[in-house]
Amino acid sequence: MKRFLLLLAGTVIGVLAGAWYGWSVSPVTYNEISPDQLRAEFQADYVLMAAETYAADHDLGEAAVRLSRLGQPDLAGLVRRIADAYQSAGFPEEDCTRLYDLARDLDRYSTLPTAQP
Amino acid sequence: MKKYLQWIWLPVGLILGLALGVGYAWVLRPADFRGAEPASLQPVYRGEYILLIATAYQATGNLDRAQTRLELFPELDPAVLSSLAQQVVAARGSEDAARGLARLSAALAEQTPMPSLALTVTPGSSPTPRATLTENPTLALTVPPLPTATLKPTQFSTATTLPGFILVSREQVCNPLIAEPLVQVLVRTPGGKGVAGVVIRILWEGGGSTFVTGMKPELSPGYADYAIEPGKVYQITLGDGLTVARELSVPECPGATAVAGGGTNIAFAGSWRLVFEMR
Repeated sequence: MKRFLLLLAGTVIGVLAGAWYGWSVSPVTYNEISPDQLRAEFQADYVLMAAETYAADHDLGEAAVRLSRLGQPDLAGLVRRIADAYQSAGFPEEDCTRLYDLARDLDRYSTLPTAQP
Repeated sequence: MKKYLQWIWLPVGLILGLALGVGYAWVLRPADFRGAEPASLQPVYRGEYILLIATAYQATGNLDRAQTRLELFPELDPAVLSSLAQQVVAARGSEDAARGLARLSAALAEQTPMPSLALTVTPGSSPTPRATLTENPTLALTVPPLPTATLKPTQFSTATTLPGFILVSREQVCNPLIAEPLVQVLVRTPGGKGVAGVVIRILWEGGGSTFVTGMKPELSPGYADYAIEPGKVYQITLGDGLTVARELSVPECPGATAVAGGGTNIAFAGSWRLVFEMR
């Protein structure tokens, strides 16, 4: 009985120590990720960069390709959400305008009638 | 004695518990993943991210913001950015990205002193000390739409002494998306500034031509390139006509260098990158 209790006590202490080590001391790290696994602030900055570039080159297709890397089905909605967040966080008006412009154009793009055969 | 042996079950339990606990924390339920930093991106996305920083900078001219973004990639010093710009141009990638990279490189170089070439003198066993000039470390970034572009230092000159210019490095460039093999020439001052207007003569059996630095100022005022053909051996002369680089033929790059980022295993034609310094 005592052997069992000792084994149990050791196991419980070991599990707690192992979990603490695996979560706090040496947690799992992620490499070779795709853009949709970036932290939220980097995804937002990625969208802002796409909007900044779009404001200069007006290449909506290229902007859509870039944004599609973030794995969101609704690109216009994604850009608009980030624009809202930037606006409420007090980011420069210029940035918000670029984002809203891109969202608006993406909306138009997605609602274009498809070509009839 | 028997009673004492019972305590062995405590460390046995501890070891077992540790294994279970670590396994649970690493495999079954890893720490809450709140996303990673751009430096952890796959090479192809990493290159895309860097080019997006450059194109956004080219679009807005906001250097502070570009600099903050570039800080996420500590290996991107001005020399690496400049090299990337040249590779984007050579691969006929986005012109805006190349210009942005070149402008960023120039802007950052103005803020930080250019690293001087490291001169390593190895006395060794040879009677005369051997000087080795080393420049950029191997570049292993993927530039979309380019796969991995790798600069492979193959040979450094032992500083050919010439009136006017010194060949400080001669490197094989293995980039599978460079459409045609090139001789890329960079002429610069000892302070690292590109020198425009230097006439370069390129000769091969039965022919020759000239080209001039400064035709692609967005890369560097001292940059020039010339397309070379397989099967021909070229030599480059600068300034007063003395040969400073000879036996240049289209190098063959092993396919393995092109694998990362979507290349193939098939060997391909590389290019040369020559750097000259004015005396």
